[in-house]
Amino acid sequence: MRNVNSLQSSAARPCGMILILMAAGTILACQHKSPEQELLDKAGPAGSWIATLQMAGEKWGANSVPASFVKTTCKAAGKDLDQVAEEVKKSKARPEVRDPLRQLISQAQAAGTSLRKAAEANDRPGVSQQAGQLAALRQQFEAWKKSVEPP
Amino acid sequence: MNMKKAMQLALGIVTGVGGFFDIGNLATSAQAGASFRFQLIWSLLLGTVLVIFLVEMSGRFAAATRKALPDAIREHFGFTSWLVPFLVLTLVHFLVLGSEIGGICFALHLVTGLPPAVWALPVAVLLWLFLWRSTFGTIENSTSLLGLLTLAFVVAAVRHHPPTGQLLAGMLPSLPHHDPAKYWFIAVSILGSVLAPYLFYFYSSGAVEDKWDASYIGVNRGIAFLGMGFGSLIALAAIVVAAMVLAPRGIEVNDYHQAAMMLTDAFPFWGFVLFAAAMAIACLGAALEVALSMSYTTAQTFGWNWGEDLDPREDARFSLVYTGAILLSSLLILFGLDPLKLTLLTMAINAAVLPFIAIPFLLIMNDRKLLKEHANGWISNSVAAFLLVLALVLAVVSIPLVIVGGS
Repeated sequence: MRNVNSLQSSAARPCGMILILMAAGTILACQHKSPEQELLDKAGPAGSWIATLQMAGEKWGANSVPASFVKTTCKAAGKDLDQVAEEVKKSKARPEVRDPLRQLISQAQAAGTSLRKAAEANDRPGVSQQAGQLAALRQQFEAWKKSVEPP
Repeated sequence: MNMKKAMQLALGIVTGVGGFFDIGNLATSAQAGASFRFQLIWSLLLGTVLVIFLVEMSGRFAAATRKALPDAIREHFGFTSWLVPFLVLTLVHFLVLGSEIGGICFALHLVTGLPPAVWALPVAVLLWLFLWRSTFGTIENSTSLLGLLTLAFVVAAVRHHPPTGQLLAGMLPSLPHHDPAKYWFIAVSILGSVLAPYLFYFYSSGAVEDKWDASYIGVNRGIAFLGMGFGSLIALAAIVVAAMVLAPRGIEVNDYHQAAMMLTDAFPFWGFVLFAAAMAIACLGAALEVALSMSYTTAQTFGWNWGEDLDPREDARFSLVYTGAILLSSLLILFGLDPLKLTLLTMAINAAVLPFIAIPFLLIMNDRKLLKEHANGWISNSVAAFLLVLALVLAVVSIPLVIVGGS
């Protein structure tokens, strides 16, 4: 009983808060990054969504997922890509780093919309074409990432 | 061992395997495999060893004293001292229940295309009806047997022929090659999902419901080691499948849509449906357990009548707690909270509150007046001491990691 009470004592609470704040401070301090590195982190979900859309298109073509899944995945991807686009817009990274990414995301958004429409229309060649377009965008994204990543 | 106990052991192992895997395991395993391939397997193994000991202790306690943990802790330390752990446990129950309901709704969304929020209330009614109409045995056995569907992850993992060297290397802790905040966030979330505080409190109440006595201590040990051990194999398989299917394609799991195609390489035609069914069933079993666990804990804290085998008229307040809990938790999904984000936040909170829940439990396991020769020995106490240190570290780092490492 003494042990439990001592843990709940009023002295323990500020101590715990200080420890949590110190841990948060340490982790945040270790996270200090340049605007280009920050942009690289923020762009991560975009690359992942481009790959997801490509896989969804390919799997639909192979009859492994239903059209409704492609549709909802495209919607979810669109929402997250919009968010990344906003972050990129606000980024203080150099324009030669930021602008190619902006263009890439905008192309991915367009490809996602076309993929959704093609799946809804049961247009197999259309879906296949968009999956190919997304595969190319993914390669471009990887090349962009490599150009920004510190050696 | 007589026939009845052998049956209990077999059933207990099936329950352990089928009941171990829930939305927290699925989400954290998929994230771990997709982002860090096999590198976080050590976190799952560490959690599994600790949960085996915790579950063994809680079952031993119930078998030796014929009392459930909250009941005994309240009697032993007094109501006031139990109040803080109880409130923390209630919050965790509420969030975990919301995450499990979110998982069922998302699985239905995958199959039907309708938004998860649409399914929140129908799922809540289904869960409530199940609890209102069924006995403990029916719930335990039916959900566990259906839960064996999650073995699809194990079959898929074997079909992918993962590289043995990398698998073995992942069993040892190592520093991440990229994104350290995310790495540690997922490591903590895996621990939070395996060391779910509700699990060992629920297990002790279940043992009392099943009328265990001291003669069940051997059966309990077998269930804890084999059930939890095989259960964690499914979570390990989910890490392997994500590492083999999602990671090479550059897919990270920031949304359940990104995990939903995990099984389609191993099972091209059935993989998608299998994933949705495994997700729904794992979450259904866990949601029933969590709702019951919340009722058990509340009823035992306030000294009310309790028991899933009783007619709701005989333990009206017990039944009212799960009714209210299901309704309130389903509102989290109804109001559009993202099921994956809710799950990951809940797993981190699970890890953060571990000391509040585990300390009274581990203290009472050393009460020789109550447990006599069944009190903790040096092996259990060494694990308990390690767990306490780990729990205190997790309590300090988990919330900051949510801020910097959670997506």
